[in-house]
Amino acid sequence: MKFENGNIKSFEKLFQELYPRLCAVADRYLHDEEQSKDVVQEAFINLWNAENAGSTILSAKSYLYTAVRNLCLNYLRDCKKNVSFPVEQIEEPDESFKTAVIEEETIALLRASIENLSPQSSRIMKYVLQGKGNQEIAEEMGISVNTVKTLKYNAMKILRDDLKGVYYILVFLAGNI
Amino acid sequence: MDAVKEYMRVAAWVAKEISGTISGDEREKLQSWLRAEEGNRCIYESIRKRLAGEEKMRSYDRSEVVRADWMKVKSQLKPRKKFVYVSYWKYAAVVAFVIASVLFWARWQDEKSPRLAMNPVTGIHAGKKQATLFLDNGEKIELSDSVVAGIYQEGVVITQKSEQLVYEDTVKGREEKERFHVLSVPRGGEYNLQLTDGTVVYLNSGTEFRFPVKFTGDTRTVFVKGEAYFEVAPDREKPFIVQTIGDLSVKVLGTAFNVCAYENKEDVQTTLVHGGVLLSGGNRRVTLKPDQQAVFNKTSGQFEVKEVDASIYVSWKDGNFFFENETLENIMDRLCLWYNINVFYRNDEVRGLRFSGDLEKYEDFSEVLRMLEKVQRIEIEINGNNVIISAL
Repeated sequence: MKFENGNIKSFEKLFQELYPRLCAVADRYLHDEEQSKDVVQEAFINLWNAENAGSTILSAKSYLYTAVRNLCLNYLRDCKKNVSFPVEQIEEPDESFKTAVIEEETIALLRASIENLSPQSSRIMKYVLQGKGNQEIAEEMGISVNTVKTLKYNAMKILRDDLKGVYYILVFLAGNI
Repeated sequence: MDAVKEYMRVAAWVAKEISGTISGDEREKLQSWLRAEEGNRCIYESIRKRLAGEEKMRSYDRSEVVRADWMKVKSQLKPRKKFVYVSYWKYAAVVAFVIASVLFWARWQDEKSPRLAMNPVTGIHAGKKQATLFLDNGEKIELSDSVVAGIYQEGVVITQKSEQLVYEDTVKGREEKERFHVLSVPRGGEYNLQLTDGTVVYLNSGTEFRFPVKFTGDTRTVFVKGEAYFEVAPDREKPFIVQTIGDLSVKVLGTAFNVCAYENKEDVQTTLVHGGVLLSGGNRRVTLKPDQQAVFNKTSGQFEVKEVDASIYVSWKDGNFFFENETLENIMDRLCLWYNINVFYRNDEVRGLRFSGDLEKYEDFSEVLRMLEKVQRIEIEINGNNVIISAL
């Protein structure tokens, strides 16, 4: 799908969803929150202005990740001209890029799906993600283990649909060209 | 890019695994990914570690920051279709708004698409590169569909290169009588052409251009009815002369200029981009400087010279329509050639409404109309290729 002006809403949604995680990826390269934000903003502006990029949401996402990495590397390269900078830190992007994308993407997916839960379920899931057992959670929250189990069961049902949804929504949009 | 897609798939598996919502199938895929490379397990562990600890909130995690930064980005997004301003006669009131840049035209051609019905399509398409070439032997060549694979005439090779017709003289200095070809661009078309002297000519919709295959006389004389933009190759020895309707001729040495000379129009406009031109018509002569326009009235034989922004008048050759304080009638006159439509006015007063604006030529016509409709108090009906405009 193209981001037409009528589609600025969908572009905004894309921005809201992806901005934090892309900034986090940039931050891994730049170690500078403000600069990272600038880089990601530039990537979004480029995506909008690119004629052929972003033909699907799915590829828009990989476009953005790739663009952020390239912009970061360019930025570091430009800095290097002025400041002395160890070259190898800049030139070996692939492994760190892979790590950055998978890590930030996973965290963002989990965070987003938990936000949709009720406050109590969301709290339980946070404990689950931290790797805590039912007993431990029950103690933390001052509720019975059975209540934890029930809440957890319900939360996971929602979460399952939610995480499945991530995939299906993308496919739906991608097919809707 | 494919690598990134793979990373995103892995991220989804990891998220599901950690939240306990992974399916058996996905678990297997995740397991084999974890085994595939040593680094992969590290990534997984690192995610686990982060979730177990307290995440420090970074500025870009805050929704108010995301919102504020979105506003920043939004302000820098180029509207796909540029802004259109409207000014009533003397009011400086400027309304700017954005037209959806919909590729209706391309979609519309795709007849298989079931989504067509959803689009409010006018059935009016933007024009395209097309023209008919008439050779002096009576042969006729449609340039829209066939590729001219080298016509050879009297030492001149004619080829079609990226939708431009190129005439190249391979045998220089031969004296002979000039032979003429005619390139005819229909309504809804446009075409470019390079002459043997290197002069490049852009022809707008509804234009007929007659030119010698090879310039063998003392002058380089061509004939145009309609609208054409010339980038004349310099040649001090042989002035370039454009003959047009109403017995107007434009004489140049080397320059770029636009001639708008449609038969149904009272005036012929000549706009100079750079260089210098000498116009003669109705026993009068006028010279133009860059960014000047001569308006020649066919009936009275009088010239009027105006200072203009020449780029506005040549924008059509670069895929845009620029209008500056133009009447609706003049704007529609130009659009109707490109979109091949007939425009009717139910009330005469709407003809004089003035607009300034900027349109992309290749956009669907319905968007053009929607834009006009929104800004001005006019109503537009479309009936086949007929467009009826009335005051609201």
